[in-house]
Amino acid sequence: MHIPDGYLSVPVTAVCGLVSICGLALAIRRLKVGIEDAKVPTMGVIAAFVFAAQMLNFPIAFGVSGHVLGGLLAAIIVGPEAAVLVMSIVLIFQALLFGDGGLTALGANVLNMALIGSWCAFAIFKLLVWLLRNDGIAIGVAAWLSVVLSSSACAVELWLSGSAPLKLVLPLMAGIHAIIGIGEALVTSAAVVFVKRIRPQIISTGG
Amino acid sequence: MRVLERIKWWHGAILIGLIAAILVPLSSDLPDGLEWMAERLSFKEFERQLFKAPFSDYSIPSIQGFIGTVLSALIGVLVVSVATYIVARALAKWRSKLTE
Repeated sequence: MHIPDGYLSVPVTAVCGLVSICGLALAIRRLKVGIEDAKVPTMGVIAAFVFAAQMLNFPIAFGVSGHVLGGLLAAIIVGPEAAVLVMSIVLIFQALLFGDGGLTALGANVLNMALIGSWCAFAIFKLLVWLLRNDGIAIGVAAWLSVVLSSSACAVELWLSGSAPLKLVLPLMAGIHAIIGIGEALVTSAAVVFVKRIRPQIISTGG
Repeated sequence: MRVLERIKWWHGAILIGLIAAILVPLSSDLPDGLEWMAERLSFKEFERQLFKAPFSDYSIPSIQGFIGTVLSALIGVLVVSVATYIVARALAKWRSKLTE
């Protein structure tokens, strides 16, 4: 769901850019003092994972494909603030080196996939853990929601830009990503289990 | 699990890069959700290319076929990983200086 250049209007581009810059600044400010040194290498590995996962498209239905976003996984492993930073760096390189996502749409893409797909998803995960007292279900549901909310935000931005009518773009975008989100939930759950097994100490419990 | 303790972060990044390089030829060429919708709701025509990215669409200009995609997966994973490490390291230094 990387938005290319041209789909968004100037006001939407500007507002999304501003929100993203503020969000990124807040994330950096809130990073725990010194980003505990142990977290730095983990961030490097998570960035590699997110980039790789976003390159691998799997077919769903109706001739559409999708890929894992990795936002919630990143937040669970390095904490939401560091995850926003990781996701943003990945998005910047995707746009600059690979033409995946536009330069002017970078703000919107950071908003959708880093701030919503990672930070908001982590907040939802925390809320679900508190409500359900079950990490497994919370991870699955929050991962699924991260993709659905992220794509819905993208749909709303397209509508506000006058590119598509809301009553078509929102249900279609959310509907397609409700299927892609199942993949996200499976991969996120499997990855958390895997990381817990090999490096239980790096899983971020706070946030 | 003693071996795991000796694994460095860049071992992980290289491993992920290699796995991505192996899997990427299997990646689906079908349009993603947004592209599919852009075609259906005919707003794809609004798409503008402001600049030509060096590895546009995950390919390498002079290398044909899937080898270009495989190499761009490797390059992408490693560049992104190292860049994140450098930025995080710099921020860590900067934050610890602020709190001294």
